[in-house]
Amino acid sequence: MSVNPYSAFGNNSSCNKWGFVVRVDQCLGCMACMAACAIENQTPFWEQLWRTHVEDLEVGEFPNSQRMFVPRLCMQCENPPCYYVCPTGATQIVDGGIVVVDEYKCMGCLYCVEACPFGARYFYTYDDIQKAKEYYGDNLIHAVPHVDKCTFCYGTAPDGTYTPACVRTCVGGARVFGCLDDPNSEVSVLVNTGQAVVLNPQLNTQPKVFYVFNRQSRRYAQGGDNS
Amino acid sequence: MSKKLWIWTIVFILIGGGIMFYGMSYNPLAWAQGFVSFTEPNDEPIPWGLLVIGYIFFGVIGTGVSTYNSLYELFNKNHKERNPFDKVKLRNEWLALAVLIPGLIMVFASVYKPASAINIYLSFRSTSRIAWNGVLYVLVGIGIIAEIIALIGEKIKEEGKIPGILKLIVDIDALIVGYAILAELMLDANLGAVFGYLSTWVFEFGPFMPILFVVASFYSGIAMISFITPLYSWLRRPTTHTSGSGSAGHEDKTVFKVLARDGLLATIAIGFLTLWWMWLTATNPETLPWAELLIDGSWSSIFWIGLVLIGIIIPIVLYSIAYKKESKGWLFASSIFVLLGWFVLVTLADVIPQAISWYYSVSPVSPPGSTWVYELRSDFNGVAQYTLLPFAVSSYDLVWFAGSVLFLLGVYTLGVLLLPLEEEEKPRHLWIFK
Repeated sequence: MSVNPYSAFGNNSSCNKWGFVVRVDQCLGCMACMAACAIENQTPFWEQLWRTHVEDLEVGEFPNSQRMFVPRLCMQCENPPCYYVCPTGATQIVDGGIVVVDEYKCMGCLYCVEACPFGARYFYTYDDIQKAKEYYGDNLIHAVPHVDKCTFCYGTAPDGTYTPACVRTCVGGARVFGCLDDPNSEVSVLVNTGQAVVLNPQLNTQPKVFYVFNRQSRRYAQGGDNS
Repeated sequence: MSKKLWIWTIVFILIGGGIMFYGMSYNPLAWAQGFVSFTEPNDEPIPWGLLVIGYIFFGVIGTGVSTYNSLYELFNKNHKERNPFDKVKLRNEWLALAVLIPGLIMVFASVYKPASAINIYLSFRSTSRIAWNGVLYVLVGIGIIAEIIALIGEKIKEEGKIPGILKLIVDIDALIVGYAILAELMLDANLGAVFGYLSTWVFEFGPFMPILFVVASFYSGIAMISFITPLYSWLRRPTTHTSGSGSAGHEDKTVFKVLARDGLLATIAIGFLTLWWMWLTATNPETLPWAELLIDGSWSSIFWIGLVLIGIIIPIVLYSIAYKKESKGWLFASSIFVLLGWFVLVTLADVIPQAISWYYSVSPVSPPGSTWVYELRSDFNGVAQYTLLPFAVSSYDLVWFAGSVLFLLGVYTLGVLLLPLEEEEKPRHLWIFK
């Protein structure tokens, strides 16, 4: 029996609040998620612009240092600055609280790029469209220049079913996707038990992407050494 | 003179228009939809570059000229003899409109898909300050044009024969002037808020920037009038002599004195606000790196020489001399320094909030009620770690900036040729053209 890889989490409208947890301690740094996302969403990887990106950080100081891979993506904030500043109504909040960009409405003023405190947005230029044609022929996802960002792969499956490409591809199980409204979902458990936390909470953007950090990075963050 | 002015007008409109046509890659329709490669260089780490600086520079000057001119007009409505700008108010209003034009051109050129700007009106989002800018620019444009028509209408009214609609406009002149002032102040404040709230996490910047921009509109607007008025005085001197008006010189001196006084006050206010800006920035640990950039960092020479010396200290001295001597030469010199200083101030207000990705830092933050929270530094999407983001001027930006400024030189004189801007000129064609 063939399994639809998209359908793990139902369809686009089956949840009011999709969430995402990144287990930093389980990220191997293989970057498969970046490749999967780039193919799925035809992001301009030739310009090093990504919807999701794995940061390769060294935390602490030698010899008490460690390498840390931190996957980044749009935080799908519940209080998204990018949405409020968009003058043309191109940035919209759709089913499940996902922030998307209507590329035909976007005028490319970059106000949202300025407003996003997580640096999750970039501009998809006319030249990027031309370049994408070299890779994908005429089967292009992006037809006009616009500001682009992660949408949790919203609407990529033709039948409306849903699993982000990066989650499907992650070999270490570092990326967890699910419905935050469902108390039994893995993301809800991780968030409700306090294991998963948001980045930059002081900005009050209320991200729906959470992070679970490992013990060493916690100790580093706490100000102690890692010995 | 008129023939030379026509040649000047046509040449600059053609050169400016031609350069902008080149900026559209010779394909306006494709350019309007973002389908040209020439816009590509606009992806520097600092997204808002020279064109954003340019549109603020001209936009705020334009509104400032009109606000300043209109305030004298409004509060001396029933005592025209008390308005030092009564004879040049129409010329000033046209100057305001003409200066807004390159600002508007640069607004459109600064976005990737100018045609999609129509969505500002089709799907208006009230939380967006740029959306409000789109509305306020239209309201300001309507206000200034209505004011120009009303002032021309006054001239026709003096002759007794005035069509109904124009009479109505002239009758509600004070209302129009008041409306224009309000719309202009709102536009300046809103424009400041765009930059003030870029850094949403530094609360003080939000309310501060609108104040700075409103005061700056007077600072730059007075400077623009101080630049043009002596220029006219020199260029039109032969006419003044032949008319043999002995009082003209005295009236001119009054205008210069008033401009020098108001310019001096506005410059002192900008000096105070700059001090306040530094205090706000330097006393907040999160924004200290910005203050350091200006005070002794890589932008310090531009700040100290460009803004503090050229934009504030020298103009204060020159305006004071101009006031004391009632001299148009000193006033003219002051205005050049202020306009340069204003360009530097705009550049700093635009670039500095974008210059540091300080919010990407690895450090623990422990607000009350939170066990573990993290900030992360990032090189996400090309943003460098802990480094100053570079500011660069792209060739696209340069082309559009140069094109729209040269276009302004032609558009302004076109108004001089077509409209009865001077006191002795009367409208003869279609009620508003001379």
